[in-house]
Amino acid sequence: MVTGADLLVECLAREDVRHVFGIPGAQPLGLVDSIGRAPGIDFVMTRHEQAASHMADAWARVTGGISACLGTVGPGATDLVPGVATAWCDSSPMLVLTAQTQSFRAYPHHGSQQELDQLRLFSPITKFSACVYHVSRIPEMVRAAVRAALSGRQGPAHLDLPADVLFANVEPDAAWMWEPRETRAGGSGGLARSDLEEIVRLLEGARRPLVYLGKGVLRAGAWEEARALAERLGAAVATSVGAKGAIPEDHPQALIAMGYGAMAAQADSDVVLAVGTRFGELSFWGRPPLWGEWDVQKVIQIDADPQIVGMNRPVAVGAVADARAALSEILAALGGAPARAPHPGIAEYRAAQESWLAGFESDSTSDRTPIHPLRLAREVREFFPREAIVVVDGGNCCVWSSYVTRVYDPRSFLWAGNMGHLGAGLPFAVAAKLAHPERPVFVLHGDGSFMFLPQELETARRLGLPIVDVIFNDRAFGMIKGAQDMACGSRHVGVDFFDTRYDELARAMGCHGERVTEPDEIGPALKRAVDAGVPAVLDVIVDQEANLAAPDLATLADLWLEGCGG
Amino acid sequence: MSHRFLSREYLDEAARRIGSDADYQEAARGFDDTVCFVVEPEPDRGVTERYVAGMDLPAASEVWVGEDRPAGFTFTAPYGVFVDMMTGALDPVRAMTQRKLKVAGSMPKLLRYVKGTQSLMRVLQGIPTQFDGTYSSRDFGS
Ligand SMILES: Cc1ncc(C[n+]2csc(CCOP(=O)(O)OP(=O)(O)O)c2C)c(N)n1
Repeated sequence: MVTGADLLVECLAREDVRHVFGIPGAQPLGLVDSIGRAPGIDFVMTRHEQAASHMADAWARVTGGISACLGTVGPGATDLVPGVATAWCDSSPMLVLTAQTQSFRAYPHHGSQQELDQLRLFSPITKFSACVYHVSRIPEMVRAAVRAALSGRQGPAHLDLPADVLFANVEPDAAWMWEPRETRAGGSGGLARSDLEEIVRLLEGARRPLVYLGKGVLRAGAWEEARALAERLGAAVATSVGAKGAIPEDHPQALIAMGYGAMAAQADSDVVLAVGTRFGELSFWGRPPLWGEWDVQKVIQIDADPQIVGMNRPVAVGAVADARAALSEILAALGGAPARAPHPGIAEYRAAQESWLAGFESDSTSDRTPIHPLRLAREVREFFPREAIVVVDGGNCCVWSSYVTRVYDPRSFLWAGNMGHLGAGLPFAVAAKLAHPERPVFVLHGDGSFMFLPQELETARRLGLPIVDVIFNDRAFGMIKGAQDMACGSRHVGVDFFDTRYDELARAMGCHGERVTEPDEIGPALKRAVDAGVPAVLDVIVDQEANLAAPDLATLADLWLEGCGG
Repeated sequence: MSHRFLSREYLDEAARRIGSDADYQEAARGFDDTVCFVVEPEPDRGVTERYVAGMDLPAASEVWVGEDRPAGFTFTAPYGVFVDMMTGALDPVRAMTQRKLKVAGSMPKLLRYVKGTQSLMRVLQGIPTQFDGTYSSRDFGS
């Protein structure tokens, strides 16, 4: 006999779930115990369930695989919500496991402590949310949840687990335990023939093609094909901000996300091949003038989700397909003709990009005290090697950082972008380091953002994960304070902090911590942080006045507050 | 001396200042193109005239008024949008991204010369200017 919990753990292991991030409780006692006993799957205790769901999200982002998070019934489940919502918005898959009161007390509940309708809680932010009412259904329900999480536009899937089901004894029945590949749709998920022909016709006739890559390319593992296709076509390449790294940002045909070069390409190209992107707000909605006129610029949109195709801009060809399969097919259909030289527009786009970047040179080398945020961001990026995993979590400090922080590898840039959820940075970094212990991982952190989940330094310390967290300490919610300058006649409400020693906080949790106030101390402090061999926090005092005035805050505010007057 | 916005005298003064402003000449070096401004009337605000004016930049050696000559760049907007830009209330790049200012011309080139545009605005904002209709409350300089 095994327990329901044992059976669940066996099913998770078969799906290659290697970590369950979470905090235990009474109802999931047996489940946590089973995980603890099972080979090949670890329970990773966090210090807040929000961090657990952020970690499961980050695991998927950096590995392309899937893991799980766990919360106990009631408060554990509600605490998971921010990280699940963040993953939902960024199409990142995970299994969300919540313990539930006994099946004979739930739905409707009738007075158990911590009881909660967790199906309704998670239904708007998951692709699948179901209660496992009987132990015999565990294998089938895990398969259904994973299938939902990993198919089409990916995202979280939720299983609500009544305590009696987890504790129930059951005869293991081999017939239930199918292999995952036996329970998934087959086929390459490629393009329909007519779409393929039209796409090839448009691309071959393009004078100034642009390949525009979204996060779907990272999920599908399609970056090699995307790059090969861009090189074959001599096309410019840009990514959405969230997909930074889908092409190395120093590739001669690549343009930095949201930079003037990318904007120029987006506006100027005659044919755009958009893959795995929804043309959301931070892609300027795919609208002119920062994209070509709708009746002139031909857009080929490929996405795993039919609801995304044509959502924000009309398309010449809209195709529902797996990005990797589709790009391979296009490459094959283009045949073996030699690669075209990069088209002449690319030099113009790069000139626009260079002139834009030149405007940041003096601040990024400034010797002023307090330290300019751009000086800090530049030094941090230059200190770490190309293959480092970059995590950003903050307001204006991240806007500044975006000008000098290049990403060169896929699945190496972590940002809770579409939810804009502050606080995800530290758990993201912890999970990234857990997945890739051999790669440096650093966080560019606003002081406000850091303080949402600073306790995860203890998790990092306990697990022995030496990440480096660089705090841009401007003693404020800088982005909002800057916005109050622009929109509220400089009246500041709810944005200023007491001077807090984040370095001391780190040391209290056994980490390395230093406060840095001088620009020439940044480099040596980074070295000491890495040499410490434990998680490290650099609490860097930056110039608040400069931080509030991030150049593109006004452009972002125009997007966020469009239609709100002004 | 103050000039009526987009009058012949205003444009001549603008050309004189543009051509001799070292900062602007540096920021716009290599631009070498023609620009045309089409300013739409707003009769309900007392602006009845449609203004069209153009010049070559950065040299500003030739100015034309009232003539829809083809140009490398054409910027079109209602009078009030130009007033907002001239008075510094609206950044020209934001005016464009907000679709208040319509632009015909090469976007890559325009984005390459954003600093030039900003410098041009600074030069124009130095010219004492009078506006039409109810916009006269926003005249500046003396
Ligand atoms: C969880 C959450 N709460 C509130 C916000 C709204 N918000 C956006 S930016 C910002 C300020 C960020 O401050 P900080 O992390 O210190 O970075 P800075 O802007 O100072 O560089 C806030 C509060 C948010 N995005 N997420």
